[in-house]
Amino acid sequence: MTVRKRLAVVLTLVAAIATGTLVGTLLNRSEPSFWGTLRYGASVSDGDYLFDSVADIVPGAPDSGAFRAAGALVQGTVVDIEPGIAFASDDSEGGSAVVPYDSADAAMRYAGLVVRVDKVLAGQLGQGYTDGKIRVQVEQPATTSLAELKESVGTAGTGLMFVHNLADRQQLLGRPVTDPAQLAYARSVHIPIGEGLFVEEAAGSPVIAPLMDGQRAAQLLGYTYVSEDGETEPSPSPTCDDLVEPCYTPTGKPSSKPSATATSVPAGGTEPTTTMPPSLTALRATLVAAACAEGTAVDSSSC
Amino acid sequence: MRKLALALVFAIVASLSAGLTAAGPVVANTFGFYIYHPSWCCPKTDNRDVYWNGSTLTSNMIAAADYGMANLDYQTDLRIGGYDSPAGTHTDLVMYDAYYTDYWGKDWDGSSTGVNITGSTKCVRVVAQVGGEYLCDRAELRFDLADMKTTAIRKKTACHEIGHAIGLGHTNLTSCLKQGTSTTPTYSSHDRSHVNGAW
Repeated sequence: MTVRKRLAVVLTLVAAIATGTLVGTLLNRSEPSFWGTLRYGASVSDGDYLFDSVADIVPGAPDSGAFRAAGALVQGTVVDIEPGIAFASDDSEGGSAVVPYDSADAAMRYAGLVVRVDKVLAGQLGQGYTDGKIRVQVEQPATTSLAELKESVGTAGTGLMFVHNLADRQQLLGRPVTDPAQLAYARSVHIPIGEGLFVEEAAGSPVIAPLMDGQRAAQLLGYTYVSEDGETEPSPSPTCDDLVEPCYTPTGKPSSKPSATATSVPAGGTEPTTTMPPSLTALRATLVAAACAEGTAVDSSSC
Repeated sequence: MRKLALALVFAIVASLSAGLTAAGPVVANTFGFYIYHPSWCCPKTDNRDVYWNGSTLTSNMIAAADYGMANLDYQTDLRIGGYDSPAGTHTDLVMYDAYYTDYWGKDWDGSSTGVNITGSTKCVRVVAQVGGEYLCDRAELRFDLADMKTTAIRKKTACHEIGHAIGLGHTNLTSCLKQGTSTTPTYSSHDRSHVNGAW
């Protein structure tokens, strides 16, 4: 092979590698989903779970003392997203001040997911249910504008949602909202209870739980969590496995909250045998059955 | 010519495969936030030298924060840039503690979310990069004193929230990034490989 031919081969290979890498990278760049855009990049916390199964969230489920069940379970479709309430970062008086939603001082923003209520399955929606719609409070991540979220809100899908009107719930918990500005907001919005939004993005697809992390969703919905590398992970051990000090058993705040474990058996009472989340239809049947057991199902003929 | 064509096809297939997996190391937890591959958690810190402030922390909690920052410096290639007092424009991490009830509208005791929050981190100043990656210029870390009952819990929670502030997500491995009852106060080798791979 002559030097010229060798050079041609080398240049061709270099061009091919560059082309392949570029195409591969572009194929990787799928458009982010509405829920991916909404949830990820929001604030993140460490904490202890206070309930064990979705049955504990169903309206009418017994009050554990630390966690109260939802006011309502609805099936609804996300149709829009609106500004909600914003808080400044201010520790001077131990609280955080409410600021205009588009203020540069806003450090934490909650948007309102406008949900068309297709059916109230259990409980009652209370205040804030107007024109067949509710506003569900969700954190708006600092990484995404409301305008960007609106672009993809049409793909958010339909879900089963455990919700409670914020003003009603705060009253029930014994800490009523008294600030006039916050009270008007609280009356207009529902909050997700137990991070319980279970959404079908496309008809027939397995549900996602966009407000929970993956392991928690798997535990509650009864499937085996598969980590990013595609390997199933063992259930988290409830024991202290790596201690530097004596084993800490959470006792909670002064109200002595019970602590749930991530190994708890989900509603249904069986160990996970699948790596797939349930369909919306299957989950609805489970949840309605739980509501029937609590006597809060709206359609008693379904029990 | 046939050899050339075969080599060409091979090179395209091989590099296409490489391109499809070019999103970075895939391990048990996430690191950073890239809009086209959204992670569960948080943006990476925007520089290697991490400046912090905890001037309002209670004495027990500042000891834990000191430990957490020293551990970050010791375990990873990130460095403590310095302690800013008061917090300035280049302060990367600002830490607070209090007996929180509804700060930022959060349900700290978990009576509604079902998650009793012991600590929380939020990036309050985000820097968008070309290509869809986001970095964090300023993160606020908050510790609920109602739950900060022992040195072990304080150290673990400081390590955990500092981990979020630099971009690490939750893990199921033995690490302070594990949710809940574990009191491991250090990062795992997975965590370190994420951080050190970026810096």
